[in-house]
Amino acid sequence: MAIRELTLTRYAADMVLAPIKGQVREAVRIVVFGPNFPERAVAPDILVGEQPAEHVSVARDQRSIRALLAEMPADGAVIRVRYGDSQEGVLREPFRRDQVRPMPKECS
Amino acid sequence: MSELLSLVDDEGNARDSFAVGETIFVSGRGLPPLTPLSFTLEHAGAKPHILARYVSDRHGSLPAMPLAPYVGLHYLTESPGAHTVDEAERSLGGREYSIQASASAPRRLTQALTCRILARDRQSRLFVTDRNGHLVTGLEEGEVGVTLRNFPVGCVRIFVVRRQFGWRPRDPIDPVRTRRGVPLVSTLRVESASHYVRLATADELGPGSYQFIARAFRPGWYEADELSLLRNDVVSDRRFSSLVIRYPFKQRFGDYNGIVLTPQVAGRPLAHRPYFQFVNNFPKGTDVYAAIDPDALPAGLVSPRAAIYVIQHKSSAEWTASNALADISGPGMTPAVKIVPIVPGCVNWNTTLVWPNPQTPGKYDIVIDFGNNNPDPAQFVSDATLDPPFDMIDGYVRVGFFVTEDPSLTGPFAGSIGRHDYAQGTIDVPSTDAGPTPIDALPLTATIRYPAQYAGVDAPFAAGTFPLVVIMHGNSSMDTSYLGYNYLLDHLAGWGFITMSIYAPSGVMIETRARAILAHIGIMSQNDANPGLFHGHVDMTHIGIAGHSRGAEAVVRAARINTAEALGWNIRAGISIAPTDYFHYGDPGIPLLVVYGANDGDVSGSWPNRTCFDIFDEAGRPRSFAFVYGATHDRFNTEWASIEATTELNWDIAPGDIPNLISLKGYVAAFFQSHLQGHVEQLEYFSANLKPSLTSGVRVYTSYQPPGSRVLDNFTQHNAAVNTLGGTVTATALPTFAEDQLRTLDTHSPHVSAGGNVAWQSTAGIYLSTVPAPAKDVSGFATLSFRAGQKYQSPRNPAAQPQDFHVRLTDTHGKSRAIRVSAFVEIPYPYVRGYDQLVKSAMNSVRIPLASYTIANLGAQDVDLTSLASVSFEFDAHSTGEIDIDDIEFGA
Repeated sequence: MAIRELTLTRYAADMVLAPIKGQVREAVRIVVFGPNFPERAVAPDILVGEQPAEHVSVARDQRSIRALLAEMPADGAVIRVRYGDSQEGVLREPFRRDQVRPMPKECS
Repeated sequence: MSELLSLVDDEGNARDSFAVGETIFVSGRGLPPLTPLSFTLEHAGAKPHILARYVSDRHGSLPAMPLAPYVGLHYLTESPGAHTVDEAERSLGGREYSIQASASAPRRLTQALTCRILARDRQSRLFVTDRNGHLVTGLEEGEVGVTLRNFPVGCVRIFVVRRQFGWRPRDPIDPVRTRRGVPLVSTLRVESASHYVRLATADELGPGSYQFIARAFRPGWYEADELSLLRNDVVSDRRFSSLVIRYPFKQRFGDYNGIVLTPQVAGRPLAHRPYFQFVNNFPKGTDVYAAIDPDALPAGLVSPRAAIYVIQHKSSAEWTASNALADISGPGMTPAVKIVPIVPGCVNWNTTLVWPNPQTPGKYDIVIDFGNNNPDPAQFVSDATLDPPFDMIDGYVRVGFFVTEDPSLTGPFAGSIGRHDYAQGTIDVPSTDAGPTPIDALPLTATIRYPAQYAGVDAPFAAGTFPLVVIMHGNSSMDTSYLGYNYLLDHLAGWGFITMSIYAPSGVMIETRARAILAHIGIMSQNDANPGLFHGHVDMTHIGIAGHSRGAEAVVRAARINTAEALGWNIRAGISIAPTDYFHYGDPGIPLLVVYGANDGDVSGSWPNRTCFDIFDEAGRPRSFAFVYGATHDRFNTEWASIEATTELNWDIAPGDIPNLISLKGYVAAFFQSHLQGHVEQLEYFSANLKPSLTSGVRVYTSYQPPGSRVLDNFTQHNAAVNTLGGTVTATALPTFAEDQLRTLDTHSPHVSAGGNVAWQSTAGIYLSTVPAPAKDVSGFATLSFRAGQKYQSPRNPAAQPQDFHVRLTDTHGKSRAIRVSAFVEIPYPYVRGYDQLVKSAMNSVRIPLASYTIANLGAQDVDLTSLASVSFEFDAHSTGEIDIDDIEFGA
């Protein structure tokens, strides 16, 4: 049980090519936004449903956090960000597959 | 010198072959220390000529320094700039060159370095070129584009970034924005081995130094838009600018303008981005490096070599007498002139060690001498004179850099500081500021640090007497507030002060704290007079007082009580750190320094009594001000860190202690050294923008106003058309030109004084203030000064950019000269914090030596300072802007 709430405001997701478990394959990139994702000793986790995300990184301005999901989450999956047991936030808006932007086919 | 030196690329990798367009560097280890090293190119059919002359550092190392920029395109070619990469590969590919390294002293050493030019380069590279593939390194106008070579067929994203002096993986990429605010990131599909891409125009980019980063990627690749440098990204040049977009020379240095070219030159390498930092303060023994990227160049500069002189700073009269250069950068201040390769048209010259291990404090300049300006490097000869407009100097009228006993470093007593604490009962003091009654009991508690024979509690004093500094804390709920300045006590004691921090109970206001300061001075006077630890060691003729928050306001009150009640304490100076101003006591009657954190979340509000500007505004002369970007209210006190979240109201708490503590130590020590120890040169930390070296990573902006000035305009006439001396003031092409209380003109400038506000919408804007007859002779003054700050949220001030303009003096004979403000000081963009309403448009001093208007300068008129007609601000440096302004005056 986290002792402090982490505020999450919204998320965005798109399909990307990425190295997942040693192979380049399609994955879902998820970016969660909020007022402050601190760089701490404890690394943050993103969970969508029960699936933990990989390659988690905090943006330089500390106002978003992003990661890769090896599998497409189910519609309605809960999006959570947590720092160990000390901070956790749950996004009010659940994951929706129809909101995932498709992977670009061109350079842009 | 067997194999002590290596040729290296711009990532420091030793190489013996280089591709066309690469830059060859040299580095070395195990060399004789402090030894001049010459590098001469020898190849068949050509006269040997010098590539560079450098010097090893005190450890016998030579950091990587350039020998041949852009081989085959600018160097090692008979026709610089004439060939494309393909043409250069055809003509030079496979050739070998020999570079002879030699040292003649202290012993003769030689080493031959060979390099081969690759006939066909397979690496992905990125060059700034024209459409025909010819290298472009500097321009004033026209198209900016790059040629991508050897990129795989597919997607490439190009980022245009401001110059860094190095690049490493994971460095953040901040794309440059065009004048319209569009990030300069271009994505394209490459189909051929050589692909030209137009990116922008010079006008869209604006003057500055740029590099370019190219990233190949597959569509959809997750790191394609990553805004940090990836391992496989291609950087155009890692150690110097790839392209300099210059100000048109005539605009920046027209016939009637300025002093000679004075770019920043002196600095030091950093282990992190941007990997080099221009600084003006080198603590004794700190290596002096130099780098240069001028933003304006005169037409006709063609020399591919420059000689670098480190000279002692010369006065205006000395320059008038002689423009000769005497280098002092060798051991024992002997000559050791360096020679560096230059890319003509750009002068993007890499970081270079120019003065290892300087040991003599003083004022110095660095001069770049282009000598005979011959396009043939074999013909280069230094003429050892400063010849504008080609030759450059970082100083001239201003000081290029200082070698100092730096006040932010530890002082000579740092290893032997004594400590003494006392608690001497109580005295009766007023319990409120409303009057002498009711009274309350004030415990007299203090912790003291002093110069001792060795470190320890009550250790015997070092020989001599030492000035006394008393520090009073601010208000908190903590009984240990007075222990929160131990870092400052230790620092000052190290520099030879007896320094004490004194206690006040929670909740007491200003009068109590002021009385406490004076009571403890009395105790120390008795301690000095009576047998005991302090006997005969307290210099009661040189007392300084300092305070924080309410304690800072108490500094003013204590000084006034000392005068009003004729107490007779020799209080010579005061420092108010983040002061409240509940009672507007007025002038303390002593030299005062006010320190204010731009991120202060406590004394952070608005006029009339909730900002730290007031105490400065109400002080007499001399007065100094230091505005510390990032500093908060509480962290000047280390005990308060745990309560900061409540006292700062969670407003923008700074991420660390550095802005507060580091800046405070340096400036406080310098201020008290100047006023209590007779080191008047330390006032340059306030009057000449000299920065304590440990604050070089902190943005601190200072004001300094001496006594005895002749005020041209303090904007108290309530009539913008007349100045304080009665002269007329006129505006040309200024949409805003107003005079009023500063807080009325600009809600982000909550001063208790009046000021002016000027906005310009074009480079034609001019503010002109005439000097009436009785005041025309200003030849007895040394400086023209004023205070200026950018108006926050003015749409005319580009975000995060400094402002700049020219200050022109015109005499009654019609002769005039204009001096660029940024040659002396930056007018910074306000420190932006999360709560917009708390952002402060702090004004800092612009102090231009009047010698700037009379010193010899080719093509510029000499102004007769005995018969001055007008002072004008010409807003021709930036097309738009808006500033607050105050106190235009002539002074010391």
